[in-house]
Amino acid sequence: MKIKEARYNFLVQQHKNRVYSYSMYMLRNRMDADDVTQEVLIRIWQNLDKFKMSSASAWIMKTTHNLCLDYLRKRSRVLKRDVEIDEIFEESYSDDSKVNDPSIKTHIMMMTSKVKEVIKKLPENLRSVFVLYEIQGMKYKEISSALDIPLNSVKVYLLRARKKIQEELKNIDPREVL
Amino acid sequence: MNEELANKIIAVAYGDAPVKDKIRIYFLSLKDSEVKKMLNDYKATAAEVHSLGLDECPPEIIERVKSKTKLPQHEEKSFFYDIYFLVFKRPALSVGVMSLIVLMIISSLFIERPEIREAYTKRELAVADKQAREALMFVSNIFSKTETTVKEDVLRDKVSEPINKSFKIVNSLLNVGGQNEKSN
Repeated sequence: MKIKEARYNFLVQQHKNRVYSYSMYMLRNRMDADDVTQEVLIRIWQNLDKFKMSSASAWIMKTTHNLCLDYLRKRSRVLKRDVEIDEIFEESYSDDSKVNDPSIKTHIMMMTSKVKEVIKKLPENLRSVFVLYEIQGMKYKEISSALDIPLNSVKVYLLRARKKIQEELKNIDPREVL
Repeated sequence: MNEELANKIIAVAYGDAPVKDKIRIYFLSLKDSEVKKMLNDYKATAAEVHSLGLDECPPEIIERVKSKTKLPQHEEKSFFYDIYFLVFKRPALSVGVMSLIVLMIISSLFIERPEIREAYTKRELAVADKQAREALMFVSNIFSKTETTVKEDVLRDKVSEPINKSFKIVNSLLNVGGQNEKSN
């Protein structure tokens, strides 16, 4: 039992932020991200004996992704929540920044917020690959197994996502950021 | 600009292009302003994206999960956790320690160790010499005493005398034997 607990605590420490972060990008809603994270962490405990530690990362991200898709499907039936925009803004202010100059700090926070916003606006398939690769630092193979898509599709989606983000950022008025 | 080149520029900007492409795009960007602009734009975005950290998972989620899974509320950093931490989270640490050990073994085998030479003063040498002489004299005395004892006591009393006695007995026996033969 102690070993199981130790394994579980280790996995939670390793993956809690990754799961939460991924859910935030995918669902764009804090409450849903909370729910998904909680559900994933419970499922890790329930299925701890069913996966190897070496493949835990892929299993956890796959579970997170599938749960996010479930939430997105559910949500498509209901109205989008107003809370979304406020959260992005609030989130940007909670970010740590070592810069002390308030104007630079604000600029960085706004820019970061814009980039996050643009990522969150990507189509779901591009967003998942982009977040897993660029933000979570996963490899093509891991993403392919976590999302159940061919390796080439991972590469193509990533390239498309990069292009789309660049396009979207180009369309943002610089004064909007400053 | 063709699509293949654009894709390569993007990959270079995001830092996952092969070295060959990186060099090619670098030199191309020096000549072509359009390539340079595109590369810089994408680089700026990539830097922005890579600076995005992970969102911190709220601690209340962990507490809720622990109460649902009936795990201890406080976070125990047990021995097992430490082992897992070392084995899985910090494989680099293990690799580092292993490399260090291997390096130490190899260096101990191949690197010639300098001969240890200690310098003694003349006085110390003289004292040592005197002590050695004394020790040798002592040993020599013992040997000469032993030689005297062996010559005077052991050989005379324990060896020569019994041999002489035995020769006398043999002689007397031979004499008796000779006389009997003559009489017969």
